Amino acid sequence: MDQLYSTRRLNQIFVALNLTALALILITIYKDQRPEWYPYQTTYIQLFRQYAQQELNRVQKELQGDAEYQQLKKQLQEVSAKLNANPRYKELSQEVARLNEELKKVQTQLSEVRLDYLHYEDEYFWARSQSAKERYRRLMQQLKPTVDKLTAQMEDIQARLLKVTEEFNALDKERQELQKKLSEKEFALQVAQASLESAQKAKPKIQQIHNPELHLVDRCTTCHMGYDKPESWGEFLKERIAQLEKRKAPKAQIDILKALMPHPRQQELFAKHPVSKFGCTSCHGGQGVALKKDVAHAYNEKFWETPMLPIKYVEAGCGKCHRYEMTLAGAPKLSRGKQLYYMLGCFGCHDAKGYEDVPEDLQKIGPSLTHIATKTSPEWLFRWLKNPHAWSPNTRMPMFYLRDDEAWALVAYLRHATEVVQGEAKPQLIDLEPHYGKQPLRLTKRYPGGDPKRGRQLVQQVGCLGCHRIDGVGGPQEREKGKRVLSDKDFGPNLSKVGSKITDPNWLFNWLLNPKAIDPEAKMPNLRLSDQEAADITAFLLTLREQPTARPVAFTPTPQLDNPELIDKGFRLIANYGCAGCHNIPGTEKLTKIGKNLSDEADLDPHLIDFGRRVHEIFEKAPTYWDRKYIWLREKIIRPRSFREEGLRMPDLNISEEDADALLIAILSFTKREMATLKVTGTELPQTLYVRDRANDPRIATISAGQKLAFGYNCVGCHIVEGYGGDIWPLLEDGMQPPNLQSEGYRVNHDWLFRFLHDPTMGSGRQHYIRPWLKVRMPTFGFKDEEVNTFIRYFGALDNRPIFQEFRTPYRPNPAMVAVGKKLYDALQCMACHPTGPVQPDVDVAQLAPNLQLARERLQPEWIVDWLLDPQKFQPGTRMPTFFPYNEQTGKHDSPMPDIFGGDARKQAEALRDYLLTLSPPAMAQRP
Amino acid sequence: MSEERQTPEQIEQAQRPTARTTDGQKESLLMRIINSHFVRSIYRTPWPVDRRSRIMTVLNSLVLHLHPTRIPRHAVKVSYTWCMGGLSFYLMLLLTITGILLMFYYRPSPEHAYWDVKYLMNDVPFGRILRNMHRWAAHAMLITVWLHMLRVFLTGSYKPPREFNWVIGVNLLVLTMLLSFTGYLLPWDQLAMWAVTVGTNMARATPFLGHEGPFGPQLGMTPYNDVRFALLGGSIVGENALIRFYVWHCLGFPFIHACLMAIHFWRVRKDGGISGPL
Amino acid sequence: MAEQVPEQEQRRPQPPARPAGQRPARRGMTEEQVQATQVAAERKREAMEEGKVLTWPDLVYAEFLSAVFLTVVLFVVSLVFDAPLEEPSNPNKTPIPSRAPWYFLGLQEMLVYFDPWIAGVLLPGMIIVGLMVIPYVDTKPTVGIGRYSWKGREWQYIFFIGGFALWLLLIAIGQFFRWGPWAIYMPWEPREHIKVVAEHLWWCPLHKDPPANMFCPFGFLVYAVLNGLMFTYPFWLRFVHKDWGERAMNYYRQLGLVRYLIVMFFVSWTLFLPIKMAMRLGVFPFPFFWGVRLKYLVVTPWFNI
Repeated sequence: MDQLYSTRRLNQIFVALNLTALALILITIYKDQRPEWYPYQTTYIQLFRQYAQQELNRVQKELQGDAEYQQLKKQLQEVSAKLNANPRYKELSQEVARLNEELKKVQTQLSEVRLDYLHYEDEYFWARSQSAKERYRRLMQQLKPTVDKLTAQMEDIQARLLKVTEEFNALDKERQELQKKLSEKEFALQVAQASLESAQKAKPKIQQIHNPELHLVDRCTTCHMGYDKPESWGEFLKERIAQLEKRKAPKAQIDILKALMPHPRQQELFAKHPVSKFGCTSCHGGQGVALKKDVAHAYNEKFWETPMLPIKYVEAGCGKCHRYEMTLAGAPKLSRGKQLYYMLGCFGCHDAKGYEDVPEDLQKIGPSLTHIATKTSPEWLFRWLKNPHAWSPNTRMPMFYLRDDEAWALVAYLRHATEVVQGEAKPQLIDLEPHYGKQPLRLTKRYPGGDPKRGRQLVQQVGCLGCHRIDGVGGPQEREKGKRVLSDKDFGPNLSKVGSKITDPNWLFNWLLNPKAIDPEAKMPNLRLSDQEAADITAFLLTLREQPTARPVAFTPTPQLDNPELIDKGFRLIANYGCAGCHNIPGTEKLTKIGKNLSDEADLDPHLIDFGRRVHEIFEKAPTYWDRKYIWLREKIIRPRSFREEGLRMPDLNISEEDADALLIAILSFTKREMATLKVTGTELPQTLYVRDRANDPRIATISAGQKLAFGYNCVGCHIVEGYGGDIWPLLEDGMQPPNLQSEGYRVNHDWLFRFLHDPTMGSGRQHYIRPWLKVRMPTFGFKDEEVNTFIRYFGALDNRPIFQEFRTPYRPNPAMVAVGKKLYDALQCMACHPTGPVQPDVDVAQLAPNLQLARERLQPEWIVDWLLDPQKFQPGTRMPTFFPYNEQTGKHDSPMPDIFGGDARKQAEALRDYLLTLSPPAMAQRP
Repeated sequence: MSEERQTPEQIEQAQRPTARTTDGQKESLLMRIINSHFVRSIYRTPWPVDRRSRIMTVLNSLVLHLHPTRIPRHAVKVSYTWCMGGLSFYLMLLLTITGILLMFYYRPSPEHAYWDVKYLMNDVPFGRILRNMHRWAAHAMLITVWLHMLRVFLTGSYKPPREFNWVIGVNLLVLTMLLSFTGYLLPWDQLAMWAVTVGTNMARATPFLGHEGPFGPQLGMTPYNDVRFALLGGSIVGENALIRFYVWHCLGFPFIHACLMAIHFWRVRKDGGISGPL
Repeated sequence: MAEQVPEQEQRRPQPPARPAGQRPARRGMTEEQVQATQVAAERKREAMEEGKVLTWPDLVYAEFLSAVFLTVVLFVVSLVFDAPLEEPSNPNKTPIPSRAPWYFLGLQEMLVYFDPWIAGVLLPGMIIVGLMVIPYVDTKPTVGIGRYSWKGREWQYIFFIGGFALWLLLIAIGQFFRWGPWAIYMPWEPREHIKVVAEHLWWCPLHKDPPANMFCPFGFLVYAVLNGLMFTYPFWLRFVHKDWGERAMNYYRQLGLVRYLIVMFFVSWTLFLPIKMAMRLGVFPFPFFWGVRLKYLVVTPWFNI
């Protein structure tokens, strides 16, 4: 018999192959049993044991050092010893124990018997035959005496127990109280002990946070074990890391320790976002189910659509749900980005979620160009269009990198569309709209000439500098780091060279008198300047001329501007570059936003991005796949035209790197993925559950709409709103600044506020109604009713007031209280600061406060009391003295006058309030 | 190895479990295990050491009796068969086993399918290797089946009397591809959904039966009654498509595949065993 | 090792040899196929006596070892490479490119050159049926059974290996050279640049941009004439070359009309495939129509080829 293969050879192969297979199986088992997270947990467990021990030692030492604790302990010992020596005490305690035991026994018996009884009762009820019923009735009867007997016994024991216990407790009271105090002291010790115990029992295992409502499964905490540990744990770890670094330990080992650090700002963040509900990935992104570091963080995972946000952009995670608030405490960069997105007019080209509620009047952030032809010269316009940043570096107008011919075409169109030729209609152009509502310009008054010196003073005083900047005079300033809404940009144009821009002094004079009369869409409010004031300011502004430079600005000579082809080209350019996104330009009413809708820009996949000629550069720079997107977006904001030579339209915003980062964070929060986690096709998540949306949260809707107004009209140029703004404050002396609007919604009566916002003079004809000593003026904005209502609701919502204030009968002061109030009013010297008549010239304005005669119509009664008790709570840094300081010991406010109402501060404040509300408002003629 | 023909007594001697061989030497541990009572009870024949027992080993085993007891010398050479037929069968077994295990963890519904696969990859003990094996074995099986067909053609093994077995073989090839294709959808990720969309979009263009095919619209075909609708149970790759593909993948096609395979093997034996030169 | 034939087998009575032709022929078989079947049976009997090896261990053990080997390979592959799993399916987001599974890439590649009803339905159907038909149209059923024999089966080898290679080639192109909107990318080309495929194809040989629902007589004519020429080649080839014609005629006679038509149908399509591809790429027929990228050869209001 012949054989093809040698059996021996086959055997050898068999053994070799099987050994290989065995080895592979062992490898597989090892990999399964020792996953990547294993060393994290073993390290954690080991370190946490040490930490818990250390904590325990610390607490014990602290307790030992605590004299009170020691004394308590001693006292307890003494009391216990005394009690133990008392024979009655011993007897009683034994009695209690015995009775308790007896009671338990009887209760057990009783419950058993009762069960039987109930069973018979049940059977009796359901039994069909009479004989059966009879049988069960007999059984019940037999059982009844036992039940009664046991019940009586139990009641007896209970009564005895009660009596004995009472006596025992009376004896034991002192000891029990001491014990209680002692255990309070020992609480930290118990916690430390428990944590040590649990640490000693801990075994490596997968940790997970599961919220089925959100399809959320996060295993992040499998490695990040220390996320909810106190700060002392972080310090403990830092020490260890420092030790390891000193020893030059391998990086992997140090990284493990770093991963165990506690989450920062836990109390602030976790209180409202419990981890058990939100997990980690809802905010941070990443792949929650994964258990390998790279896969879970997903920075480099092409196929995980929500990778972890890099820590520098982490605030974008807040914006996923907090879409509509432009001020989010705790996320300053995000807030700044969202404000910039609004204030820089990004929404003029790029729609985005969160900016749908911009009111119609504020849709265009740039000035209306309806009368640009009469305002300035074509040459100036050309220079401006070519490079706005050269004329004023702080302008919001971006640079479009226009060629000379393009700039001239735009100038030609603007002149054509806005120039009013008296008496005759202009020839219509073939391709353009037939003539677009051209407003005839009426300059009603002639500029009489004025005094530039007085003009300069006025500009400094009345509040021009809240919006405008004039070199050498001043301009909007940052009051507090990061609290200026527009960052380094100005709201209004820079007036340093305005004299070279304005061609007609009459125009400027009329504009200052009432901007809305020239252009109903003007952003500038009416400052109610008298003719003389306006003339003086005009005179001053006209002196501000461009310094003639050695090298004059070179530009191509002005072409013929009424060339229809050029005008037509200008219109096409406007349509192409989306000028109408920011400016009101006659004839462009039908143009729509030209940019991409950014509502889901955060969901953009890097492989769909066109990197243009910078593809290799960006790919090299990006350490991971998803970084390509972040770098591209950031570059797009800072250098929008660097990707291709032609065909790009986005202008250069001249934005700082810091602001670009903030904008990027805002854009990275524009997502359509609701909770950025496990959204499964075909299943709807409870989207609205946690998303703060206008649709499901009226408060958010109100705040969102109010912020659009408060920022859009630059209220923050003068006032401080939600802590932001107050740009003019640093330019004015203390006491001369416009009021801080914090707690405005609680402070003032809403109907008063309605009248005030419509007309800040309240019909008195006086400039400064509440604070007569102020020079800076609250302008007349000419708000529409709905805007005023939005403001009122907004301020109310900020202070958590009901959105619609209830109508109620006016508050009637209690006459008894009024008398006391008067006494207090005098004693506390209120009138020293709150003037009731004309202001005396020798008074220090920094000390002045609003006229209290107006309190009745202006202020809310509840607010006055709260304000009197603690002014600093409402306006940190206010000059109002705290007459009734809070006493932490008693939990009440102290009063400087303990003889009135027994020193009850609240009652005293109420009395003051009642008095204030009896003060009669000055007659219209005498109003300040 | 060659032995003299043994007498029945000698065979009896060899079969008797003893610690010592006939020549008195101590038996190795392996042989003692092989000759132990329990192991002997499993096989109907003793450890094959001589010609007779080797033949009996094949004859007496349910699995091995698919083979003839003796086969032409050339047909055993790997250089001739490439081993592809046998490996295809082995891969089919492997896929069945891994597939059954995967079914423990998989629910064919849009909400669960993808996440169950994620769990398999991340969570289930040995889930990752299980799924990888299933996937790669499926790809490997396609290759082995193709190569098997190539080999059969090149060696002229489809020629009479094996014509019909070739036809069955072609059907098995088609079934293998269908099995793989239906399995492709089950992870329910982008890759799956769009590969299957591309694949089934072709069915729209079926002449007469598809709504985009020649004469389809004339015969009243719409996206809601054509052959693609029948394949997917809907006009898009959705929930119904998933359950359909799942059932085909786990029950329908494997059943047909097994039947055809049985016929295939049976015909191999009946049509003259593994092919060889005539 | 000495060959030992068991006595039993030696003693077994030989069945009486049946002379050829006596056994009733199976319906539909050519004389040669009948002969081949009988020869096979004869050989089988003879082979019983020839040199054989035992199934155990030569076959079974080797099979077992190759299975273990494959398992080991699979194990290693599975440990090293993870099976792909992309993002959750999303019907609203089409990936670019959307690729069919690799074993169907041949068909997806054909979609470039043919309408879906051909590339996706007709061609795969024809491949399957064509494969199944092979044993029934084999004119050399006795040549090279059970061994690799280039000699005598040259055309069969060329045809089959060629088809197999084309299939693999299309798969390779689809897998490694296609990206974006199914455009050709060389392996060294960066895939970040999205190529725009905007080819302007000639609708048919006569029109670049034809009116709707047209009928292109020229292309249809060319197609019909070429096909006609091809199908009838045994009858006219003799005028070109006497021996070749004789051979072709023999071939036709061997098959009979029906099977001849079936064969020619599949052969014509197999040849048409690369020709149409070349026309679509604008390189055929060289040098005429150079650069004319043709979309269809046959245009009718109902279907186009």
